[in-house]
Amino acid sequence: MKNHDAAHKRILGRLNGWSLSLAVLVLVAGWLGFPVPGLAEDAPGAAVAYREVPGIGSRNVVWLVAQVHLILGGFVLGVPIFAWICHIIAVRTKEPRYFRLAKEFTNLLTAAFEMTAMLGATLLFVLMVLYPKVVSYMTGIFLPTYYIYIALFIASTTTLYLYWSGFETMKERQGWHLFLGFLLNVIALFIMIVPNAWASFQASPVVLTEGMGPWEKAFTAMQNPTWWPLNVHRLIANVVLGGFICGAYAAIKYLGAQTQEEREHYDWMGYVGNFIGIFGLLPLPFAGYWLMMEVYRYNQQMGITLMGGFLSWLFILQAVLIGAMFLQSNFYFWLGLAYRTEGGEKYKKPIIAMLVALLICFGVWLTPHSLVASLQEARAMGGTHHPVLGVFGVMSAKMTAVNLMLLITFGSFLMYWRADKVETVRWAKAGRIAQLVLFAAAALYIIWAGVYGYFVPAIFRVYVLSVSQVLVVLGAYIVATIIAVLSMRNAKKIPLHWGRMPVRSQHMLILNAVVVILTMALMGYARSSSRVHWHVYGVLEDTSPYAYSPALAHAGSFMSLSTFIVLVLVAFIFWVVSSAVRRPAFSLQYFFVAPFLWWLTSLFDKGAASVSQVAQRPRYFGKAAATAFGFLFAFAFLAFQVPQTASLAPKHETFDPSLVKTQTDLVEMGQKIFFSKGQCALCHSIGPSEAARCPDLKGIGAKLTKEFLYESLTQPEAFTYLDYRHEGPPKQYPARMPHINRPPVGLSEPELLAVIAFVQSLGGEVTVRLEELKAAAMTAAAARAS
Amino acid sequence: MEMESITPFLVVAVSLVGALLIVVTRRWPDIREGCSVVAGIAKFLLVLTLVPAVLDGKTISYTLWSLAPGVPVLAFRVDALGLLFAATASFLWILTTVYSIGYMRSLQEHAQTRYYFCFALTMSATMGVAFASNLVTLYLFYELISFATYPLVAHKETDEAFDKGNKYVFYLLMTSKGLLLASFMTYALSGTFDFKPNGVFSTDANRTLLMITYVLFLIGIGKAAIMPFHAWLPAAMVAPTPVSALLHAVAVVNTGIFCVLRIMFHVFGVELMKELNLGFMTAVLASVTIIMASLYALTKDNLKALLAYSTIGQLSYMVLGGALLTPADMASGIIHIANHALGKITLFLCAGSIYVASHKTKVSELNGIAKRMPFTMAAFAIGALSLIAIPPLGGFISKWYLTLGVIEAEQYPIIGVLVASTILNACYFIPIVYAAFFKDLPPGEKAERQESPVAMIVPLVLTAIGVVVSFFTPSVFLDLAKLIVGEVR
Repeated sequence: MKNHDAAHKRILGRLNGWSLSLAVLVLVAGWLGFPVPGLAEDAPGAAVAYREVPGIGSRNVVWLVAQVHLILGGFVLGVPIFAWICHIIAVRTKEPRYFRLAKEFTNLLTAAFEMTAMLGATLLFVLMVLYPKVVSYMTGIFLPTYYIYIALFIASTTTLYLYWSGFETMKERQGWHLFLGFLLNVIALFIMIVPNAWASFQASPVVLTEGMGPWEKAFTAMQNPTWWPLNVHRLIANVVLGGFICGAYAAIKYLGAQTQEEREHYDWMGYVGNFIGIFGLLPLPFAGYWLMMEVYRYNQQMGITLMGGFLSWLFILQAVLIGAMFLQSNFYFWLGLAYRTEGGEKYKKPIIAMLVALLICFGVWLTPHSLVASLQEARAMGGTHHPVLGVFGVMSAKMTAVNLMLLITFGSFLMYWRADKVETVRWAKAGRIAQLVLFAAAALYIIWAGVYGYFVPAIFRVYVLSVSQVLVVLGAYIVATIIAVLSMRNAKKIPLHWGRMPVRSQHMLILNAVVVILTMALMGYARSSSRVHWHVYGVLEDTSPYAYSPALAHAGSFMSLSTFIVLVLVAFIFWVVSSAVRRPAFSLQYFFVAPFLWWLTSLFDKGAASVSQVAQRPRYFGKAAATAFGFLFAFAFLAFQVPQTASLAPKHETFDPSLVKTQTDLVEMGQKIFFSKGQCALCHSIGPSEAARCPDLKGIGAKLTKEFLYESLTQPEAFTYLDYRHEGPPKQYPARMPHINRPPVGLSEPELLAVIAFVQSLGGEVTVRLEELKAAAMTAAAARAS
Repeated sequence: MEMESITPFLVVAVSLVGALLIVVTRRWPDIREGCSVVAGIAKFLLVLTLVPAVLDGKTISYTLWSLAPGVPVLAFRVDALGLLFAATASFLWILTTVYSIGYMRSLQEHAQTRYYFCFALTMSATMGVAFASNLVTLYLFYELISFATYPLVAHKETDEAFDKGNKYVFYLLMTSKGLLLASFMTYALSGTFDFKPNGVFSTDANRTLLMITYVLFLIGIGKAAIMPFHAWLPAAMVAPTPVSALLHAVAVVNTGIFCVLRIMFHVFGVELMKELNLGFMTAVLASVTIIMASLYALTKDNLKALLAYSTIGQLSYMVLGGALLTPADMASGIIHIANHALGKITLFLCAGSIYVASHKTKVSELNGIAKRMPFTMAAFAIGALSLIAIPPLGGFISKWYLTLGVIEAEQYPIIGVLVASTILNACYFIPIVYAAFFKDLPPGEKAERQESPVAMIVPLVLTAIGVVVSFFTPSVFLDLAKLIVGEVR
């Protein structure tokens, strides 16, 4: 071991030196290149807007690579959190099994990190080649953050290596080792939030003015409205992913265990993985809710596209997935109560009650808002809403259902937590009653708020009732946990019987991993599709043949396919790392690629032995794989069964001024442009509307002159009301008027005049003359000709 | 003139097929080794079929797979530079394979199937680098070489082998990320990954970013062993001797130098290199490496370690030749790939032969050894004198052209570097030759003939003859080198 330590120190010393030099080099490169961001708009790569991959389609390629990279990235960021939590527990409790778990999972990262990085490079490559227009635009804004990202990547690599090797070299310095784990997670967090800024900017871009310097521009763009909600959502999702994948790994090992000792260890590991997964799952819907709230605030139309538009059926599929995850996790807890604890039969009744409640909630959650119905069926129902079930299709019912499911799952966990303890405090019974009352009161409030939500305006439901439901659930978690912790102080422990869980419990763990990956793939599609035909919403239009959002059959198949690829890659990583740790001298000294290389070196050594091993492989792996892939197939099949609607990109209309013969023609043309090419109705309403982000234009023709209107369209910054309503709290993200005569809207002069005529017609006198229109048309034609 | 032909792909594929056959026939060692040799010969013959067309001024291309129209991912293009590299490597592969058979069998080494498989895979990847028509293909095959050679370096599977193998692969895989980044920057600045004779950048490309890209390339091509990215090469000496020969003369370091020349000539182009003064910067780096490596070599008693530092210095001659950007210098850099390969492979084959016959690894143990191993040590003397650049041996030709070019470029301080390094080369090679031939054997050792098996002696004698022949028929390499220089100027 001494030799290994010495070797480590040498390697560490070397690594520190190199990484530092590389980091410095990259940063210097960044600084040098900074004054002229030559990789941006003027780059020759941008001369072509798009390239097509024959046969497969460029979007499909980018979709798969990006999705697989992102999920593996989530795994790479989630596992250190998981490992670090285990490490803390190990240091606090001195239990070696937690230490072993932390080490085993940090080992995994070495291979996973390299694989994710290579996928990242592949993604960059395909994006640069296939979508140069987007890369060029984003680089023009985010170039400085690329340098930060590279520096973070190097820092993360170094810290990961130090933390990983610390399991051998820092046994006597646990404080420092834990600090390294903390540092690794902090850097990993930043590695996540920098690209999140790019992705969230695409969905909710903020206004960037021309005078901004590169750093100012990049940081302003980073601070867009959905950045932090996305960060929080993804961070929690990564914890869930890390936990559930750990659970699935443990399940496979448990199923293949040869000895009782192994079974006990992997049963326990599966429990810990599932616990951490559930721990993350409980706050996840709240983070999702926050994200959606910000999306609505930023742009009502995008929110509607997601929740009520063509993507609404996607959320039914999501409900199926999350519901399955809740059921599986609870089922696993219940099986644990039945098989690991003494006298588990006593839990039968509450478990059945909880199961029924969960199923009802699940049913409500996956009730669609409008049903697929033939004309006759629709007539018989009196519309596309079912007379009875229809009431469960709206948000109020769904929020109620999901909150109740969260409450029930927490109840399952509390039961399990208490199962191996006999409370010794005098007020134990009172405590249990208090918890029961708390849960009942919380459930009643949630149901009441859900029903009340049908009778109040949407804005009150979204901002008050839904939020209060969330707070009540969170409050119940906190209070119940405090009561449980206090009542279980000095409790008598009843030994749990690890290693007795049935096979089906392990399949639940495997399915949890499948479902969480699938859900991440689904959310990737949802986020991307919410931008409809925009690369950067409202700013950079997708003019490729793939500007449409594909229907759910296509999307569902791709979600299943990317989940399949991720599962295969993760299984591969587990497999090679399991091989590598059999050779301590090797696994200790080798860095990221070690497992792959070791696998390569051992390829032919085994010779005939490996052949017979394959022949004798127990069937458990095949069954586990069949469970996972059967679920994926079923999901893809389901995606084919729901209504198929693709969101097509709007047609680019051209308006011919020569067809305008009268003032009425002019106003009509303006109206068409207002609602189509001009995209004015994205933000402005005509008449009061809660949805509108910008001034209501009703009666505006009587208030503003033609010249003022022209200036407002072409120089919107000349005179701006940040809070145009002059009442109530100012909007958090005041929408800024774009230059209508510049891209992406880019109206021509005659089109501008037509819009002004239409706006004037809203309560005022139209003063735009036909002669003006003709003159503008001639000037425009001459300009085009020259 | 461009012509389409599948031959470049076949050259790459033939050793892949060989690798598969090696695995399939692993239970029958004679057939397995037969597959290695046949694949080597087939590859060399296929490369030879490309020579007439290239000497005719044609380039031969073949696209295996494009991600999108105009964006080839796996595409090959044979020009004079690639052909010179491929011809040298594929010829020496045959000899190294035959030598390996003698070495592995004599020492009854373990995991021979893996060994021959990785050997074949390395050769396939090397041909991929030689014929790569763009940066993406080059990068993929470049990385494949690192992966495929790692099991060869760590072949012994001892703690030391793993430790050194780790260092080897860590240096190569970490630095190659620079190559990847530089390739992306090249695409961003030029809109293409393809190699072009006069470079790919337009005149208005951002100068600062171009310089950064060039530095990233130099860092990224760790296989060229330019200091301070050289430490993997001495570490890799833990490998069996035929692998060292493969690393030093056939595949790995030559790949590094080839890539540097490719980047200089076909990504940046001679004009841009001159304009940005990148040649001068590279020449300074190479000069420092030449002197430092020679000084390090002087301090080494382990024969293979000494040869490793000698390689580091010799590689920088090639970089220096390319970087000075005069026709004579560029030609010298290019032909030194072949001349060094011949000389250095001879020396490594001799080191292996000494180890197999006498289990000696240190310079200080070689007194009088020529009395027992006359063929081996005669070949060693020829290889060593060639690398010092003594006529009538091949190494002299490259150094002659290098000196002419330096005078042409009026970079007189470089002549000082050349003179100093030649003296240093002589200082560490001549004492070995002298001790082997003129000193007495250590007490207790008899002066009876004790050479290695014939399978090992024949290749090293052939390469030594090659060193002599290359002096008398310099046009074999020189014509190709002139063709390359003509193409890129």
